[in-house]
Amino acid sequence: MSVLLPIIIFVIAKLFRVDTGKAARSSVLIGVGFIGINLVIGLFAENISPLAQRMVDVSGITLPAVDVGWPAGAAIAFGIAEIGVWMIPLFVGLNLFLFAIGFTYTLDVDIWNYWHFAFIGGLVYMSTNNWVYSVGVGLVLGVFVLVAADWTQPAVEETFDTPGISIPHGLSAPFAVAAIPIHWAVDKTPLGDMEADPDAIQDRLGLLGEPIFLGLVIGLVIGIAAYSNALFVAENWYTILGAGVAFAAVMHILPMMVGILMEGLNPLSQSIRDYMTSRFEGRDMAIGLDSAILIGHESVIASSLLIVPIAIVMSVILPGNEVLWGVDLATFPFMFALMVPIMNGNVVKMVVTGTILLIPTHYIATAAAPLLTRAAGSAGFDLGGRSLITAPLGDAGTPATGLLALIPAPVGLVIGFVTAIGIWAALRTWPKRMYMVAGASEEKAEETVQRRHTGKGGGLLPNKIGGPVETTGAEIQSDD
Amino acid sequence: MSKKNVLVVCGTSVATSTVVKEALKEQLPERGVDVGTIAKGKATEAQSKVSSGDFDLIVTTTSLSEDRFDVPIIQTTAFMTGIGEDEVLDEIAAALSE
Repeated sequence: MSVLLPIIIFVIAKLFRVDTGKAARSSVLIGVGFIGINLVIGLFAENISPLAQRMVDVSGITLPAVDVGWPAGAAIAFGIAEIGVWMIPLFVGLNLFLFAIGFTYTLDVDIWNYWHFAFIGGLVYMSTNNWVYSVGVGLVLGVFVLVAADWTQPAVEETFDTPGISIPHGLSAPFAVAAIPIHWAVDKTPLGDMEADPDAIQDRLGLLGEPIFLGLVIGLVIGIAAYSNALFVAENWYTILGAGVAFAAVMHILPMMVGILMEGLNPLSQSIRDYMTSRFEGRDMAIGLDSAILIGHESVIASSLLIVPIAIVMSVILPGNEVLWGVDLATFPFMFALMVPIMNGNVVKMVVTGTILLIPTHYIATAAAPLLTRAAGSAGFDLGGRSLITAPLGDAGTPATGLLALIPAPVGLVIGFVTAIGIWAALRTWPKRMYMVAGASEEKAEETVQRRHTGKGGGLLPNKIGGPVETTGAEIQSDD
Repeated sequence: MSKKNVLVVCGTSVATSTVVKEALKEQLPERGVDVGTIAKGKATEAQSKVSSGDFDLIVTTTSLSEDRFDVPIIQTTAFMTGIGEDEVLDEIAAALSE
């Protein structure tokens, strides 16, 4: 992969007219990134896998699917030769087409996050070996993510003060959409009236937000569980402490290596951005960006800190779970990002909803582990033999993976497609109500409807299906 | 003027912060800023990075609670959207030349 991928990237970069010198440098950097990620995964396999195995023997806790997290998930996704980065030109084409006909208002210029589409397509390719179907599933996730981005855009703009930006994100969007009905039910219970102060949580649990500290703790826990029958041997403590530092190292270094991949994609990404946006100057558009820009919000950070111990306990008590949490303990902010407007930033509701969502997440990530492990092998990563890997949040355990990749072909694709089109139709039929469901205030929803869903749109498709826009407020009466 | 250190913050310290770091590395010297280190950080670890490092400015792609930091903060998505890049670069250069 460190040889083939740079060549493919170079070809795609030239396709989008990146300057040859830059394209060459980027391509090599991507190869370098892959070698770096392989080194870190090797370190992980060498230090953690034997301990996880020993933990099973000693404590009876059987959690064989080690969480290598979204950074490895992204690298594996782009590393699958047959699907991987080919998703970039394919999705750019699809997005331009959907924008041109007026299906979406979002131009997803965040090329990096096309890895989510490649991930799901790659998993499906591992189970079906059918290229057309796998690419189809990847693109269906893309369509869903565009619809979700349009749906959440007014709420995001209002809550995070990000005018003209939407968030077509393959991890955050499926979790947020699944959270809507769950939150609706949670809100009916006494939990709906509780509040927690995000600032105080950050003061007390702040350390849990630091990947190296999180790595240290989880490494120590696994080490102690593995040697729980021999804790009075001083030598074993050397191994236990070593596991803590090794896990901290993985948590710290893996994202850096993935950062090299990102650096390599950067020139291509900018070229594609300009290519996409320059085509539709003057038309109402939202620029699609990474949900990383939402993650500094205090409620996101506080919820992500609180849910870490909950997730660890759940992984042990949920019958049939095989996920051993690791790198993705630092990924919770992405699960919560788009829930902030829906739940008004209420930390209690976010954590309760997140906890409920974690139940299917554990099982989906367990079921997807063999596929992801095979995908890693196909992408050229050396897992050191028999270990099983997963990435419970990014993306092996998302609701989208459960629906699209684990339900046998062709049912998965059909369900995904119907879901995406269903939400789209609802958005065009009851836009105001839908924007409010995603967390926009009535004024914001009204304003968006006035801008977007009245009069003729830029494309072929109608901005509004059915009768005129429903009005519940009084302010629009001034029109007559 | 001494070298200026910048911390670039985003959700992951991988994706959007890389875009910003690359842009700053390329553009700030052209605006006469003597750039020292440009470090990347996650939003959740920004506070401890700032307290243990010697940063003159935080450039962030995500909102940060300003009262938690004693370093000036500039929040921007311009480097990703491509809209208003020059203005933000001017603002960053000005903040670093003070």
